[in-house]
Amino acid sequence: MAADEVLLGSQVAARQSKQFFLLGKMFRVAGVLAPSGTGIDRSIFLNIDTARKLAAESQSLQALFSGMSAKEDLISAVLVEVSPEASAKEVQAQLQAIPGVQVFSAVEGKKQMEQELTMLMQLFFFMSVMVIFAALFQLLTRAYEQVQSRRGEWGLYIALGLTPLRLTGLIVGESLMVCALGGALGLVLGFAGYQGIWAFIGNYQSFPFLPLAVENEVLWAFMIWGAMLILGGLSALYPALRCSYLSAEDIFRQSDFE
Amino acid sequence: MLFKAENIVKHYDGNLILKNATLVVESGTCVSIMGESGSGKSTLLSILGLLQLPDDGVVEIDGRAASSLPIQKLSCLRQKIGMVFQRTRVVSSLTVKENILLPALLCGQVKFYQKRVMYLMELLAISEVKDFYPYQLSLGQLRRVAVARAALLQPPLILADEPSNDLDAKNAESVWQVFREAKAAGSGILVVTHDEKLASRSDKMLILSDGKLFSK
Repeated sequence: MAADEVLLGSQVAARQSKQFFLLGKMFRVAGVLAPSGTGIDRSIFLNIDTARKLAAESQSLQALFSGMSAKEDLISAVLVEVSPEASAKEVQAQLQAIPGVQVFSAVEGKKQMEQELTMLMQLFFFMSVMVIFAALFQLLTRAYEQVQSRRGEWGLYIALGLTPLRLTGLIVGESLMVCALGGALGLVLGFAGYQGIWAFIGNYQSFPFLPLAVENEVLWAFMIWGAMLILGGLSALYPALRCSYLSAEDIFRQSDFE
Repeated sequence: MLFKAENIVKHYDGNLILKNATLVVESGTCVSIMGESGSGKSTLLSILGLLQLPDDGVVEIDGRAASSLPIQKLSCLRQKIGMVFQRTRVVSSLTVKENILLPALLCGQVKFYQKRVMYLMELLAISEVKDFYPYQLSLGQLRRVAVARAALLQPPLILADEPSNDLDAKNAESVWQVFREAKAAGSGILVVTHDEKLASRSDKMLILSDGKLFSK
């Protein structure tokens, strides 16, 4: 690399610019690295001699470097790109042979993380399925319980002249409203939690880490919300049909009119 | 509007409760029914309120037999009947004012009845508890909420089952005031009661005995 050139990680190069100002010196942006999901995304690469010079001259870095060994040894990381025809393993072995060097392969790390993430995702999937089943069971239980507990209230509506059709609409509508509001709130909280967790992990990552690649988040959110509405509507149908076609005689038999 | 029950027969668990009971409630009149507990007064009231069908006999509203009407028509007719149930029956999740407004809510006329609900609450001395929920009320207050709800839409017929139960003399008087005003406005009123004072104020007093109605 030329002395006045820098390579920027994808998160450093947030704004498209041909120049980059670093520690009082202007550099030409030679390129921006593709996002990797690693700490490289937040790194700046420059000529090693220039870097040493900058470190030596920088007042702000003096406090960090004082007490450390010679500035020549203060190299924390070197990015090595292996050409496609070369053997990555051989290069890795040769580098590993240099004393004090620890080689970390981003490709292998990524593979390992993907395997671990796959397991994690399978676990999440299993948990989600369990949650859905539990929610369905709870919805059905609630539907059955509603028939018993709100029988008197709905009976009163019938006695006051509400038609079976309107009562069905009332019960289903109420359920849909609860599901719509609850679903929307759940999605907002879920999205906020998702963002917060990834931000937290991202800030403390020391190895490659890839966030979930969810495309069309808004579409997914609407689909999940729609599914919640359908479930809510279906769960309300049972009590609605059971109650709206009950005769008032049945409703009051054991209470007011016996 | 003329409400008529003719030769009503009703069995409960094999027991004959009503034997050819016949009565008429005309607009602007008040009819009271007295009788022993378990004599079938409330059953008769529920048949007139179109909540039960008789085993035999006919309930006629303006000359039309109610039993021949489809369920949608029956629902519409029930809107014309204000009912005070024996066990008050209020919605626990609604406030006093909302409970009284329930019939108006169900027919989409809440705004129209705002003034009337205030008037009825004032008359029945429950305006101070208008934002209370049923669990915060005494039995007497609940009873007055039920009376206000039945009278809200000024229906052609008010059926009241023991409307003066749980009430002191002053509040019983306010309930009678509501009925008197409804009667003056043209409603027919049928009261089932053990309260002789209330019954004596009606235009016609009937006794239900042995499943039959007799004039007193």
